[in-house]
Amino acid sequence: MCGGGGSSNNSATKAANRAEQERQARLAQGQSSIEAAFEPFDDDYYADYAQKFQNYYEPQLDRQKVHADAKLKAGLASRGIGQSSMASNAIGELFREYATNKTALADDAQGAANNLRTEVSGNRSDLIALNAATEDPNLAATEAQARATTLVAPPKFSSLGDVFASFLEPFKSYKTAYNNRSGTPYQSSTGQYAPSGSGQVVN
Amino acid sequence: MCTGIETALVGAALSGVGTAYNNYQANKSAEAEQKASNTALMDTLDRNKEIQQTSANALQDRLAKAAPEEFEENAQQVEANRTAPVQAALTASTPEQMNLAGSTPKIVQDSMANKLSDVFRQVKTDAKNLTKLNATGDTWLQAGLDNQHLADSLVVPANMQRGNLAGLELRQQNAILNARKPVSAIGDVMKGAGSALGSAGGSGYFG
Repeated sequence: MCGGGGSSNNSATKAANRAEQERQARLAQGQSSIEAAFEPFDDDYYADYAQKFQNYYEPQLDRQKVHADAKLKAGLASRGIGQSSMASNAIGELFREYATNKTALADDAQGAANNLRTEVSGNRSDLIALNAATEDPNLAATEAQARATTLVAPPKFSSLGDVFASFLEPFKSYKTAYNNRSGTPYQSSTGQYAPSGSGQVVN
Repeated sequence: MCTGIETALVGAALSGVGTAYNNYQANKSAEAEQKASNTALMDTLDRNKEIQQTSANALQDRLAKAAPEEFEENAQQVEANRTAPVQAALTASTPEQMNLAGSTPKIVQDSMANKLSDVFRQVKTDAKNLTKLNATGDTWLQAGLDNQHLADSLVVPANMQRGNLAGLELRQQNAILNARKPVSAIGDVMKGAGSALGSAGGSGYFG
Protein backbone atom coordinates (compact mmCIF):
# COMPACT_ATOMS: atom_id res chain seq x y z
CA MET A 1 0.00 0.00 0.00
CA CYS A 2 2.69 2.39 1.09
CA GLY A 3 4.99 1.13 -1.68
CA GLY A 4 2.21 1.55 -4.19
CA GLY A 5 1.62 5.14 -3.06
CA GLY A 6 5.33 5.95 -3.36
CA SER A 7 5.51 4.56 -6.85
CA SER A 8 2.49 6.58 -7.88
CA ASN A 9 4.11 9.70 -6.41
CA ASN A 10 7.33 8.96 -8.26
CA SER A 11 5.59 8.65 -11.56
CA ALA A 12 3.57 11.82 -10.90
CA THR A 13 6.77 13.73 -10.15
CA LYS A 14 8.49 12.29 -13.20
CA ALA A 15 5.53 13.28 -15.36
CA ALA A 16 5.53 16.78 -13.88
CA ASN A 17 9.29 17.13 -14.42
CA ARG A 18 8.99 15.91 -17.99
CA ALA A 19 6.10 18.29 -18.67
CA GLU A 20 8.13 21.19 -17.30
CA GLN A 21 11.17 20.24 -19.39
CA GLU A 22 8.99 20.05 -22.49
CA ARG A 23 7.43 23.40 -21.65
CA GLN A 24 10.85 24.99 -21.28
CA ALA A 25 11.99 23.45 -24.54
CA ARG A 26 8.95 24.95 -26.28
CA LEU A 27 9.74 28.35 -24.79
CA ALA A 28 13.35 28.14 -25.95
CA GLN A 29 12.26 27.03 -29.42
CA GLY A 30 9.80 29.91 -29.70
CA GLN A 31 12.49 32.35 -28.58
CA SER A 32 14.91 30.98 -31.20
CA SER A 33 12.29 31.43 -33.93
CA ILE A 34 11.79 35.04 -32.91
CA GLU A 35 15.54 35.71 -32.84
CA ALA A 36 15.93 34.14 -36.28
CA ALA A 37 13.07 36.15 -37.79
CA PHE A 38 14.47 39.42 -36.46
CA GLU A 39 18.11 38.68 -37.28
CA PRO A 40 18.10 40.77 -40.51
CA PHE A 41 17.33 43.92 -38.53
CA ASP A 42 20.91 44.89 -37.77
CA ASP A 43 22.79 48.21 -38.04
CA ASP A 44 23.39 47.71 -41.78
CA TYR A 45 19.65 47.25 -42.33
CA TYR A 46 18.82 50.55 -40.66
CA ALA A 47 21.65 52.36 -42.48
CA ASP A 48 20.27 51.03 -45.75
CA TYR A 49 16.77 52.18 -44.80
CA ALA A 50 18.06 55.70 -44.05
CA GLN A 51 19.84 55.73 -47.40
CA LYS A 52 16.62 54.72 -49.19
CA PHE A 53 14.81 57.54 -47.43
CA GLN A 54 17.42 60.01 -48.64
CA ASN A 55 17.50 58.56 -52.13
CA TYR A 56 13.75 59.07 -52.38
CA TYR A 57 13.55 62.63 -51.12
CA GLU A 58 16.81 64.23 -52.28
CA PRO A 59 16.08 64.20 -56.01
CA GLN A 60 12.68 65.75 -55.28
CA LEU A 61 14.35 68.53 -53.34
CA ASP A 62 16.94 69.06 -56.07
CA ARG A 63 14.21 69.35 -58.72
CA GLN A 64 12.23 71.77 -56.57
CA LYS A 65 15.34 73.87 -56.11
CA VAL A 66 15.91 74.15 -59.87
CA HIS A 67 12.30 75.30 -60.34
CA ALA A 68 12.45 77.68 -57.39
CA ASP A 69 15.68 79.16 -58.74
CA ALA A 70 14.04 79.76 -62.12
CA LYS A 71 10.91 81.25 -60.54
CA LEU A 72 12.95 83.52 -58.30
CA LYS A 73 15.14 84.78 -61.12
CA ALA A 74 12.08 85.34 -63.31
CA GLY A 75 10.36 87.21 -60.47
CA LEU A 76 13.42 89.36 -59.90
CA ALA A 77 13.82 90.01 -63.62
CA SER A 78 10.17 91.02 -63.90
CA ARG A 79 10.86 93.69 -61.31
CA GLY A 80 13.96 94.74 -63.11
CA ILE A 81 16.27 93.78 -60.27
CA GLY A 82 17.64 90.56 -61.72
CA GLN A 83 21.23 91.78 -61.51
CA SER A 84 21.05 93.74 -58.30
CA SER A 85 22.43 93.22 -54.81
CA MET A 86 18.84 92.42 -53.80
CA ALA A 87 18.91 89.55 -56.27
CA SER A 88 22.20 88.29 -54.89
CA ASN A 89 20.68 88.45 -51.41
CA ALA A 90 17.54 86.61 -52.48
CA ILE A 91 19.55 83.89 -54.22
CA GLY A 92 21.66 83.56 -51.09
CA GLU A 93 18.50 83.04 -49.06
CA LEU A 94 17.22 80.50 -51.58
CA PHE A 95 20.48 78.65 -51.10
CA ARG A 96 19.97 78.75 -47.34
CA GLU A 97 16.51 77.25 -47.80
CA TYR A 98 17.90 74.55 -50.04
CA ALA A 99 20.97 73.65 -47.95
CA THR A 100 18.97 73.67 -44.72
CA ASN A 101 16.40 71.33 -46.23
CA LYS A 102 19.09 69.13 -47.71
CA THR A 103 20.78 68.66 -44.34
CA ALA A 104 17.39 68.29 -42.60
CA LEU A 105 16.49 65.51 -45.05
CA ALA A 106 19.71 63.67 -44.28
CA ASP A 107 18.95 64.10 -40.59
CA ASP A 108 15.32 63.06 -41.03
CA ALA A 109 16.56 59.89 -42.72
CA GLN A 110 18.34 58.99 -39.49
CA GLY A 111 15.17 59.81 -37.57
CA ALA A 112 13.12 57.58 -39.86
CA ALA A 113 15.61 54.76 -39.34
CA ASN A 114 15.33 55.26 -35.59
CA ASN A 115 11.55 55.11 -35.78
CA LEU A 116 11.81 51.84 -37.64
CA ARG A 117 14.31 50.57 -35.07
CA THR A 118 11.83 51.38 -32.29
CA GLU A 119 9.00 49.71 -34.19
CA VAL A 120 11.04 46.57 -34.77
CA SER A 121 12.07 46.44 -31.12
CA GLY A 122 8.44 46.84 -30.01
CA ASN A 123 7.31 44.02 -32.29
CA ARG A 124 10.08 41.79 -31.02
CA SER A 125 9.07 42.49 -27.41
CA ASP A 126 5.43 41.74 -28.17
CA LEU A 127 6.38 38.40 -29.67
CA ILE A 128 8.60 37.46 -26.73
CA ALA A 129 5.70 38.19 -24.38
CA LEU A 130 3.37 36.20 -26.64
CA ASN A 131 5.78 33.27 -26.65
CA ALA A 132 6.03 33.30 -22.86
CA ALA A 133 2.25 33.49 -22.51
CA THR A 134 1.28 30.84 -25.06
CA GLU A 135 4.33 28.53 -24.88
CA ASP A 136 3.52 27.67 -28.47
CA PRO A 137 6.68 27.69 -30.62
CA ASN A 138 4.71 27.24 -33.85
CA LEU A 139 2.60 30.30 -33.13
CA ALA A 140 5.71 32.27 -32.17
CA ALA A 141 7.47 31.24 -35.39
CA THR A 142 4.49 32.03 -37.62
CA GLU A 143 3.81 35.35 -35.94
CA ALA A 144 7.51 36.32 -35.97
CA GLN A 145 7.76 35.55 -39.67
CA ALA A 146 4.60 37.50 -40.42
CA ARG A 147 5.72 40.56 -38.51
CA ALA A 148 9.24 40.49 -39.92
CA THR A 149 7.78 40.29 -43.44
CA THR A 150 5.56 43.30 -42.74
CA LEU A 151 8.47 45.26 -41.32
CA VAL A 152 10.74 44.63 -44.32
CA ALA A 153 8.02 45.52 -46.83
CA PRO A 154 9.12 48.45 -49.03
CA PRO A 155 8.35 51.65 -47.15
CA LYS A 156 5.69 53.97 -48.51
CA PHE A 157 7.01 57.49 -48.23
CA SER A 158 4.75 60.41 -48.96
CA SER A 159 5.97 62.94 -51.51
CA LEU A 160 8.00 65.91 -50.44
CA GLY A 161 5.77 68.96 -50.05
CA ASP A 162 6.49 72.28 -51.74
CA VAL A 163 9.59 73.15 -49.77
CA PHE A 164 10.18 76.58 -51.33
CA ALA A 165 6.55 77.77 -51.38
CA SER A 166 6.82 80.11 -48.40
CA PHE A 167 10.19 81.41 -49.57
CA LEU A 168 8.82 82.34 -52.99
CA GLU A 169 5.58 83.77 -51.61
CA PRO A 170 6.80 87.39 -51.23
CA PHE A 171 8.00 87.41 -54.83
CA LYS A 172 4.68 86.00 -56.02
CA SER A 173 2.77 88.47 -53.85
CA TYR A 174 4.70 91.33 -55.40
CA LYS A 175 3.73 90.18 -58.87
CA THR A 176 0.07 89.81 -57.88
CA ALA A 177 0.05 93.22 -56.19
CA TYR A 178 1.78 94.74 -59.21
CA ASN A 179 -0.75 93.23 -61.61
CA ASN A 180 -3.64 94.45 -59.47
CA ARG A 181 -2.31 97.97 -58.91
CA SER A 182 -4.81 100.73 -59.50
CA GLY A 183 -5.13 101.89 -63.08
CA THR A 184 -4.07 98.57 -64.51
CA PRO A 185 -6.26 97.56 -67.44
CA TYR A 186 -7.98 94.16 -67.44
CA GLN A 187 -5.63 91.25 -67.91
CA SER A 188 -6.85 87.79 -68.71
CA SER A 189 -5.37 85.08 -66.58
CA THR A 190 -4.68 83.15 -69.76
CA GLY A 191 -2.82 86.08 -71.23
CA GLN A 192 -5.05 85.89 -74.30
CA TYR A 193 -6.19 89.48 -73.97
CA ALA A 194 -2.95 90.95 -72.78
CA PRO A 195 -2.93 94.58 -73.76
CA SER A 196 0.60 94.70 -75.05
CA GLY A 197 3.96 92.94 -75.17
CA SER A 198 4.87 89.32 -75.68
CA GLY A 199 6.74 88.68 -72.46
CA GLN A 200 5.26 86.39 -69.87
CA VAL A 201 6.13 86.10 -66.24
CA VAL A 202 6.96 82.59 -65.20
CA ASN A 203 5.11 81.58 -62.05
CA MET B 1 13.19 -16.62 40.14
CA CYS B 2 12.16 -12.95 40.04
CA THR B 3 9.85 -11.36 42.53
CA GLY B 4 6.79 -9.41 41.40
CA ILE B 5 8.52 -6.09 42.00
CA GLU B 6 11.56 -7.15 39.98
CA THR B 7 9.32 -8.33 37.16
CA ALA B 8 7.43 -5.05 37.19
CA LEU B 9 10.71 -3.13 37.06
CA VAL B 10 12.00 -5.22 34.16
CA GLY B 11 8.66 -4.63 32.38
CA ALA B 12 8.90 -0.86 32.91
CA ALA B 13 12.49 -0.84 31.66
CA LEU B 14 11.56 -2.91 28.61
CA SER B 15 8.68 -0.58 27.86
CA GLY B 16 11.00 2.44 28.18
CA VAL B 17 13.54 0.88 25.84
CA GLY B 18 10.71 0.17 23.37
CA THR B 19 9.55 3.80 23.50
CA ALA B 20 13.13 5.06 23.12
CA TYR B 21 13.66 2.76 20.15
CA ASN B 22 10.47 4.02 18.53
CA ASN B 23 11.60 7.64 19.05
CA TYR B 24 15.02 6.84 17.64
CA GLN B 25 13.46 5.37 14.52
CA ALA B 26 11.06 8.28 14.13
CA ASN B 27 13.90 10.76 14.47
CA LYS B 28 15.96 8.87 11.91
CA SER B 29 13.03 8.94 9.51
CA ALA B 30 12.42 12.66 10.07
CA GLU B 31 16.09 13.30 9.47
CA ALA B 32 16.01 11.35 6.22
CA GLU B 33 12.85 13.16 5.13
CA GLN B 34 14.43 16.53 5.89
CA LYS B 35 17.54 15.56 3.97
CA ALA B 36 15.49 14.41 0.98
CA SER B 37 13.42 17.56 1.07
CA ASN B 38 16.56 19.70 1.21
CA THR B 39 18.10 17.76 -1.65
CA ALA B 40 15.02 18.44 -3.80
CA LEU B 41 15.24 22.11 -2.89
CA MET B 42 18.97 22.28 -3.68
CA ASP B 43 18.44 20.50 -7.01
CA THR B 44 15.83 23.08 -7.96
CA LEU B 45 18.01 25.95 -6.81
CA ASP B 46 20.97 24.55 -8.76
CA ARG B 47 18.81 24.23 -11.86
CA ASN B 48 17.65 27.82 -11.44
CA LYS B 49 21.18 28.99 -10.72
CA GLU B 50 22.27 27.84 -14.16
CA ILE B 51 19.39 29.74 -15.74
CA GLN B 52 20.02 32.72 -13.52
CA GLN B 53 23.62 32.81 -14.73
CA THR B 54 22.37 33.51 -18.26
CA SER B 55 20.28 36.40 -16.97
CA ALA B 56 23.13 37.68 -14.82
CA ASN B 57 25.46 37.67 -17.84
CA ALA B 58 22.92 39.65 -19.88
CA LEU B 59 22.55 42.16 -17.05
CA GLN B 60 26.33 42.39 -16.68
CA ASP B 61 26.71 43.18 -20.39
CA ARG B 62 24.08 45.89 -20.13
CA LEU B 63 25.66 47.40 -17.02
CA ALA B 64 29.05 47.43 -18.72
CA LYS B 65 27.53 49.34 -21.63
CA ALA B 66 25.95 51.80 -19.21
CA ALA B 67 29.21 52.47 -17.38
CA PRO B 68 30.24 56.15 -17.76
CA GLU B 69 33.24 55.57 -20.04
CA GLU B 70 31.46 53.08 -22.25
CA PHE B 71 28.35 55.27 -22.37
CA GLU B 72 30.42 58.30 -23.39
CA GLU B 73 32.21 56.30 -26.08
CA ASN B 74 28.88 55.06 -27.38
CA ALA B 75 27.44 58.58 -27.35
CA GLN B 76 30.36 59.79 -29.46
CA GLN B 77 29.85 56.97 -31.92
CA VAL B 78 26.13 57.75 -32.14
CA GLU B 79 26.91 61.42 -32.78
CA ALA B 80 29.40 60.49 -35.49
CA ASN B 81 26.80 58.25 -37.10
CA ARG B 82 24.22 61.01 -37.00
CA THR B 83 26.64 63.63 -38.32
CA ALA B 84 28.18 61.73 -41.24
CA PRO B 85 25.17 61.74 -43.61
CA VAL B 86 24.36 65.35 -42.77
CA GLN B 87 27.95 66.37 -43.53
CA ALA B 88 27.76 64.48 -46.80
CA ALA B 89 24.53 66.30 -47.68
CA LEU B 90 26.15 69.61 -46.83
CA THR B 91 29.13 68.84 -49.04
CA ALA B 92 26.73 68.05 -51.88
CA SER B 93 25.02 71.43 -51.58
CA THR B 94 27.88 73.82 -52.27
CA PRO B 95 27.20 77.53 -52.92
CA GLU B 96 28.90 77.25 -56.34
CA GLN B 97 25.70 75.85 -57.81
CA MET B 98 23.99 79.21 -57.29
CA ASN B 99 24.71 81.86 -59.89
CA LEU B 100 23.59 85.06 -61.49
CA ALA B 101 23.61 85.88 -65.16
CA GLY B 102 27.10 86.27 -66.57
CA SER B 103 26.42 89.89 -67.43
CA THR B 104 25.77 90.79 -63.78
CA PRO B 105 28.17 93.48 -62.58
CA LYS B 106 31.19 92.21 -60.68
CA ILE B 107 30.22 94.11 -57.54
CA VAL B 108 26.91 92.22 -57.42
CA GLN B 109 28.66 88.92 -58.18
CA ASP B 110 31.06 89.59 -55.30
CA SER B 111 28.20 90.56 -53.02
CA MET B 112 26.47 87.28 -53.83
CA ALA B 113 29.66 85.30 -53.26
CA ASN B 114 29.96 86.87 -49.82
CA LYS B 115 26.30 86.23 -49.05
CA LEU B 116 26.55 82.59 -50.12
CA SER B 117 29.69 82.12 -48.10
CA ASP B 118 27.96 83.54 -45.01
CA VAL B 119 24.86 81.44 -45.57
CA PHE B 120 26.92 78.30 -46.06
CA ARG B 121 28.79 78.92 -42.83
CA GLN B 122 25.52 79.48 -40.95
CA VAL B 123 23.88 76.39 -42.42
CA LYS B 124 26.95 74.40 -41.46
CA THR B 125 26.67 75.63 -37.86
CA ASP B 126 22.92 74.97 -37.80
CA ALA B 127 23.47 71.45 -39.13
CA LYS B 128 26.14 70.80 -36.53
CA ASN B 129 23.83 71.96 -33.74
CA LEU B 130 20.94 69.95 -35.14
CA THR B 131 22.93 66.73 -35.29
CA LYS B 132 24.34 67.32 -31.81
CA LEU B 133 20.83 67.78 -30.46
CA ASN B 134 19.43 64.75 -32.23
CA ALA B 135 22.46 62.64 -31.35
CA THR B 136 21.60 63.17 -27.68
CA GLY B 137 18.13 61.80 -28.40
CA ASP B 138 19.69 58.92 -30.32
CA THR B 139 21.98 58.06 -27.43
CA TRP B 140 19.05 57.79 -25.03
CA LEU B 141 16.97 55.97 -27.61
CA GLN B 142 19.79 53.45 -27.92
CA ALA B 143 19.94 53.13 -24.13
CA GLY B 144 16.17 52.57 -24.03
CA LEU B 145 16.35 49.93 -26.74
CA ASP B 146 19.24 48.23 -24.94
CA ASN B 147 17.17 48.18 -21.75
CA GLN B 148 14.23 46.77 -23.67
CA HIS B 149 16.49 44.12 -25.16
CA LEU B 150 17.73 43.21 -21.70
CA ALA B 151 14.17 42.96 -20.37
CA ASP B 152 13.22 40.79 -23.35
CA SER B 153 16.19 38.51 -22.80
CA LEU B 154 15.11 37.95 -19.18
CA VAL B 155 11.54 36.91 -19.99
CA VAL B 156 12.18 33.27 -20.92
CA PRO B 157 14.78 32.54 -18.19
CA ALA B 158 12.49 34.07 -15.56
CA ASN B 159 9.60 31.99 -16.87
CA MET B 160 11.73 28.82 -16.70
CA GLN B 161 12.81 29.62 -13.15
CA ARG B 162 9.18 30.10 -12.12
CA GLY B 163 8.30 26.76 -13.72
CA ASN B 164 11.06 25.00 -11.80
CA LEU B 165 9.93 26.56 -8.55
CA ALA B 166 6.31 25.67 -9.21
CA GLY B 167 7.26 21.97 -9.29
CA LEU B 168 9.37 22.19 -6.16
CA GLU B 169 6.58 21.42 -3.70
CA LEU B 170 5.61 18.26 -5.55
CA ARG B 171 9.24 17.13 -5.77
CA GLN B 172 9.76 17.78 -2.06
CA GLN B 173 6.61 15.95 -1.05
CA ASN B 174 7.61 12.99 -3.15
CA ALA B 175 11.15 13.02 -1.80
CA ILE B 176 9.76 13.06 1.75
CA LEU B 177 7.46 10.14 1.05
CA ASN B 178 10.29 8.17 -0.52
CA ALA B 179 12.63 8.87 2.41
CA ARG B 180 10.03 8.08 5.08
CA LYS B 181 10.88 4.85 6.99
CA PRO B 182 7.97 3.27 8.82
CA VAL B 183 8.68 2.65 12.51
CA SER B 184 9.49 -1.05 12.94
CA ALA B 185 7.43 -3.27 15.23
CA ILE B 186 10.40 -4.03 17.53
CA GLY B 187 9.82 -0.97 19.68
CA ASP B 188 6.12 -1.65 19.94
CA VAL B 189 6.75 -5.32 20.80
CA MET B 190 9.17 -4.27 23.52
CA LYS B 191 6.66 -1.73 24.82
CA GLY B 192 3.89 -4.35 24.79
CA ALA B 193 6.03 -6.99 26.47
CA GLY B 194 7.20 -4.47 29.05
CA SER B 195 3.65 -3.45 29.80
CA ALA B 196 2.56 -7.10 30.15
CA LEU B 197 5.46 -7.89 32.44
CA GLY B 198 4.69 -4.79 34.52
CA SER B 199 1.05 -5.82 34.88
CA ALA B 200 1.96 -9.40 35.73
CA GLY B 201 4.54 -8.28 38.29
CA GLY B 202 2.14 -5.84 39.84
CA SER B 203 -0.67 -8.36 40.14
CA GLY B 204 1.59 -10.75 42.06
CA TYR B 205 1.58 -13.38 39.34
CA PHE B 206 5.25 -14.10 40.00
CA GLY B 207 4.79 -14.14 43.69
